[in-house]
Parts: sequence; structure tokens; C-alpha cells
Amino acid sequence: MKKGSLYTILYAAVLGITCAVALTAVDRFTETRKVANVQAEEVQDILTVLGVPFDTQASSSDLLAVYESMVGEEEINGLTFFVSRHPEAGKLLATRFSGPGLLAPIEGLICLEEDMRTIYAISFYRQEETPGLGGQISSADFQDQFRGKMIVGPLGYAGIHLVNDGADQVNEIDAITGATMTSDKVEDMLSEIIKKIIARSGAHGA
Amino acid sequence: MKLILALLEKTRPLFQKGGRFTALKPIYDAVDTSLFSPLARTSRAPHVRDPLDTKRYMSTVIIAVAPCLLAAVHFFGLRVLAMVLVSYAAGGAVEVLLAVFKKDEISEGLLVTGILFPLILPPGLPLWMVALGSAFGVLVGKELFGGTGRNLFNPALIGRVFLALSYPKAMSSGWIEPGQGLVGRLLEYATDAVTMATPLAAAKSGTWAALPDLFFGNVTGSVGETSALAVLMGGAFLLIIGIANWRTVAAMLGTFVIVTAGIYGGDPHAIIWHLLSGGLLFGTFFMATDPVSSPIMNSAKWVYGAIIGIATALIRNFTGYVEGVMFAILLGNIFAPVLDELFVTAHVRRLREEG
Amino acid sequence: MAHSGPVVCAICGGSGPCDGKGRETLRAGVWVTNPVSVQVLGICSALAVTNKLENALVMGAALMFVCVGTNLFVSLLRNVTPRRIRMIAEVAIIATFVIIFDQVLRAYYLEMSKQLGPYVGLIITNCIIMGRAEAFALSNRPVVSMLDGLANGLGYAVVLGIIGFVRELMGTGALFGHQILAAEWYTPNQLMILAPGAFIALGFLIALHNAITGVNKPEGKGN
Repeated sequence: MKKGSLYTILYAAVLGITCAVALTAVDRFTETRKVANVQAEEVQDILTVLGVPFDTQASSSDLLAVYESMVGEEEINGLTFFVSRHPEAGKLLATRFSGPGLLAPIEGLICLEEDMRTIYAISFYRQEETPGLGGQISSADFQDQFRGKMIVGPLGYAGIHLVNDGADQVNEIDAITGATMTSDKVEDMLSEIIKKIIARSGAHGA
Repeated sequence: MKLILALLEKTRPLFQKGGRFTALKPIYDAVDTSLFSPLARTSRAPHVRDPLDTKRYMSTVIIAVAPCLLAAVHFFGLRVLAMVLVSYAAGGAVEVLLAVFKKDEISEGLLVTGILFPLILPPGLPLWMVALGSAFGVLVGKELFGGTGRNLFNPALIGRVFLALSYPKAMSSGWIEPGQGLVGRLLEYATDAVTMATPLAAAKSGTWAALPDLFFGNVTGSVGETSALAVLMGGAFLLIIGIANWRTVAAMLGTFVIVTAGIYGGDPHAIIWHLLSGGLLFGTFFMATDPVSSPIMNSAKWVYGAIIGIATALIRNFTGYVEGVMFAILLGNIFAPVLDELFVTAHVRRLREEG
Repeated sequence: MAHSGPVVCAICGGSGPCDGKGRETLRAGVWVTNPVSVQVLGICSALAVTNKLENALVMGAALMFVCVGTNLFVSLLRNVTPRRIRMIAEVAIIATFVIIFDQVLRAYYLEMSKQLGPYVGLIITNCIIMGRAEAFALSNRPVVSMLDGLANGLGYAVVLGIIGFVRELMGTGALFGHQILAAEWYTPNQLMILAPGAFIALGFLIALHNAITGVNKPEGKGN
């Protein structure tokens, strides 16, 4: 069969339209779930760091419902804080931070108590550091160290320090052995967000 | 060396047929051929020269490495000897298995790899990791490329890279504190000795070890690299005998000094400190000069050494790794065949133009 | 088995729509000319997603789905597709199937979709699919083409599954996320979950395949 240019164009058009229709149908079909998934994912990180209990197997819509009922959002001079009331710890405020890691960007959430100085929890929810070394920043052992630490040192300097020789100050954390570079980057991104928090929460300050 | 040669020559008649110690000839031969090339020349093809040379090369390296091994036992305890034994056993097992599988001869290549490998590991490393690394180095680093003499990379370094990537935690924390005083840890096995940061790691957080400690070896580090003095003794021996090529050594250390000087603004203390610390000297004399994985052309050796020296200085100062010798030498190994190719082509072209 | 003709098809038991090529096609795709371990195609994704067994299997399923679908449509359209634009047409069909799979994964299995990252989307550029469409579906009938797609997808999935099994077990001591080797005596080999571990595992797998089938004899079919 000899096929002319017109036929080719027609064929391409029909094929293109068919594919487009198929894809649109799939997109429509999955859209609600996809949107809910993305939201639920963000919500999950926030709920975790705020210490709000939730069922890890819960569906996206259930998670969103928990979030709606438990967490509020507060704008404090340009930083968005997720606020919730913890039965024991009282009012908790969490905000996002991010910065370059050794291998890929690191993102996390830091949650403070009402004094805006004491850390309630921290979470590095997105990182791709060396597994086993820098990658340990998202381990529970490492993140739990932050609990109860201060974002300001005893002499009033802002910032959290990751140290190798025993963390004995209120703003010191044991760094990960063998992951000096990741530790430095984490320290940098934390001091950046801490400076912003302190500059903008003068009214709450100690 | 000349003295030993003279002695051997003088006593030769005693061991020849009719001499007083004829029965002991095998021992004489073993000593003789271990150190020097044998008198016997093959008279017709095939002129098998390699095995004899290889054997001589192997034994010389082992003699050269002896001071490092003794220093290591002194500082880190009898455990070091266990590591050497395990390394030989595991590497040997792989070698034997493959020889049986390929119906091939067992080569002596392992003699050097087996002893160099434990010397570049942290002294506190679990023995099973030593075994695994040695087996992997021999299998993937050497046998898969066709066996002794055909490996592209230094098998001991392949084994170490494998361990460093597989068990980063053990490989970056097994740094036993060196034993103190005259006896050191000579009488200890030192399994649960205190560990500490290596000088290079400590330097990243601002603590610089004292130069005399680095020189004599009173610092922690890989088993064989701790004492610069011991490494230099062995290195000098290799250079004088001619096993280690001085061009590689000169190019590597030279470029390393230049780049380090550039980074530290020419501060002589920093330069000497970096020269003595870590595995630089050990890598230079015992690893980079490995005749199999370095280029053959003398002119190419300059470039090869320079690549390693520059890469080491850059990795040490600008990456997350505190020590860069291992990666730098492997990088150099990659370039070795290409360098040979380039320099041979250039040489041939020059000859053509001339004649 | 009732043999109705001289040619027996493994699937239909007769010379039906498989054109008698059923068994041969399956064997070729899974073993003789396995796309990964013999033709060494699709290596990028095979290395990237095999650090966990589950990821490897889902990726294998994705490729099977796309390969079967593409082969079916390319074969159906083989007589009406203008030669000049056949490759563009193939890419359009491949892309459609890939995006369908990707979207469904995003909607129903977000965790997996995140772990596979861009590699599901990159199936569009996977040489296996284009290769099968060009080499097989373009000149064969629909049913046997689907079978070829299934066989090659299966071949890919099996290899990925083996690598994923070895890497997850050695790299983390777990399978499907469940600890198999107790942490008390097994120290995970972290090289295995990094890219070099995949290279090493694949290398040994190919060596094993070659050892079983004999030395690399050149196959009639090139790629």
C-alpha cells in the first residue's frame, strides 16, 4: 500500500489524539487520589514532628482529617509555623528548614516548645546522604538527641552545634562519627533557620 | 645488598656439587634466588623469565615491609599478626579454588597482596572483614582480570575500597590508640583497646598531631602506615634495589607537596605534617609503585605519579573523605594503560620522524 | 495433550494465533536472549532500582506491562503505520503506556512511586521496549507479539528480581523490608545497596549465565 503525506499526517493525528484521550482519562481517574496522597504526605511529616498520634496505615483522607482537626497554621513574621497543642508539652510550633547536603538537598522540620527556644522534636524527612554515615541523620537515634535541647547556647549565641567530643552543652548534639561533611551542612542549615526564628520571635524570647 | 651478594658469591662453591654443604643447596638457592636473579639462563624458547623475577620481586617487597609490620605489632598488638594470617588464608583459599577451577597454577602474586592488604586496614577491624576484603581483592581485583600480572588495579586497594564502601562504620572507627612506652602493645592482643580519631580526621576538627609522633608512629591510622620512619626505611630499600621506581615516587610526592603548599600558602609545617600523616608514604612506596598496575614507560610514570599526588592532596582537603591516597592510586591505575599508549605512540612517532 | 497439528504451541496447544512460535518466543525472552543478562539492555534502571526486592519486582511488572501493551498495539498497527514515522508512532505508544502505569502507581502506591523516582518514566527510553517493537512486533501477529513482550518483560523482571534479592538480603539483611538475617550476627554490606553493588551483582549474574550456557556464542539475532 502506497501511503502519501496526507495519510501520514492523518495517521499521526489520529494516533496522537487517541493517546491524548487515553492519558487524560487515566489522569482524571487518578486525580483525586494523587492530590490526596501528596497532601497526606506533607501532613504526615508535620503530624510526626508535632507529636500528634495518628494511624500510620490510615488512608490519605483520614490523615487529612486528623490534620484539619489538630493542627493550625500561624504566620510569624514571614515564617509559617504549624501549631498544635500537645497534651503534655503544651503549645508546639513547627517550621520547615532546608539546605544543601553532601550529596543532595536536605529538608526537615523543627518543632519548638512555646518558649521558642526549646526543641521538642526534629525531623529530616528528605535526605539522600551516604547510607550508614550521613544517612543516619534521619535515624531515630540521631533525631531523638535533639529533644529538649536549646537553640541558643549558654552564652546567648544562636545555633545548634554537632560536636565529636561529647555533647555537654544545652545546644550541643553528638555528631555522626565519620560524617563530618554532612554534620557541617546540617549545622549550617540549622543555624540559618534558628537565626530567622530568633530574629522574628523577639516578643516570645526569654 | 652488595655485601650480601658478595657473601653469596663467596660461599657458592661450598654448595656446589662436591662442596662441603651440598645437601643444603636448596636453602642456598632459595636465599639466592629470593634476592637476586639466578645465574642460570634459559638457553632456548620459551625464555621463562617472569616467574623468577616475580618471585624475587615478591620477597624483596616482603623484606621492605618488615619494618612497618614490626612497628605495627609494637603499636597495635599481636592482633596485627592475626590479621596478616587471616588475609593470607582467605586470599590463598580463593587463589587455590580458582586455580583448581581453571586448572591453572597457583601464582605467587598473593605473597605481596596478602601482606600489604592488612597493612592498609584499621587495626581494630574485625577479622572476618579482613578475610572478606582479602578474598574480594584477590577474586575481583586480580583473578577476574586474568591473574597475577594482568590486573588493572592494585588488588589490595580493591579489597580496601570494597570494605570502605561495604562497612563504612567499621572502616572509619577501628582506629586503636597506639601503645605507649618501650613495650607498646607487643604483649597484648588489643581487641577492646580505646579507639580514637586518626590524625587526618582530627585535623578536620582542628587538632593537629605533633610531628615527632607522626614520624615515629605514635598515632593511630592504618596498620602499616602509622610510623613514617618504618615506611621510609622500607621505601628506601625498595628504591635502592630498584623495585620501586623513583620516578613515580618523585612525581607523586613532588606534586603532593606543591598542591599542599598551594592550599596552605606554603606553610612548611603543614606541608611536612601532611607528608607524614595518613597513608601517603605507605601508598607511595608500596602501592603506587606496584609494577603491574603502574605504567611501563618511564616517561609515563612521571604523569602517573603526578595524577596520584595531585588527586591525593585534593581529596584530602576538599572532600568528605579524610584520606585520599586509596582513591588517588586507583585513579592513577585507571590512567596507567592510557598513559602507556599515549607515550608509546608519541615515542614511535618521534622515532619515525628522526629516522 | 491433544495435538491438532504438526506445530505445537506452548500456550494454545495448537498452531493457533501464536503461529507456533509460543514456546520458542518465551524461551528466547526469558533465557536464550534475555534482554538484561545476554543483550545487556535496560541496564540503567536494572542498576538503579534493584536495591530492594520489592522495587525490583514492581519495576519488572512495569516493564512487562509496557512491553506487552506496546507490542500488542505496534503489531495491530503494523500494516497501517507509515514506515517514515513508525518510530515516532512507537514512542507515542510506549509513552502512553508508561504514563498510565506511572499515574496509577502515583495514585495507589505513592511510597513505591517515590522510591522508583524517575525510573518509571524513563522506561520510555528503555531499549528493550523499543527493541522488541522494532525487532518483533513490527513483523509478527498480535498474540505472538504480546507473548514476546511478556517473555522479554519477564526476562527483565526475573533478572531484576534476582539482583534485588541479593542486594536487599546482603545490603540490609532483610527481604521485602522484613529482617531475615538477625542484626546480632549479620553486618549489612552497604556496598550492595549502592550502585557499585548492583554492578558487581549483575556482573556475577552474567558470568553465571554464560557459564551455564557455555561461552558467549554469537547469536543469530543482533541488536
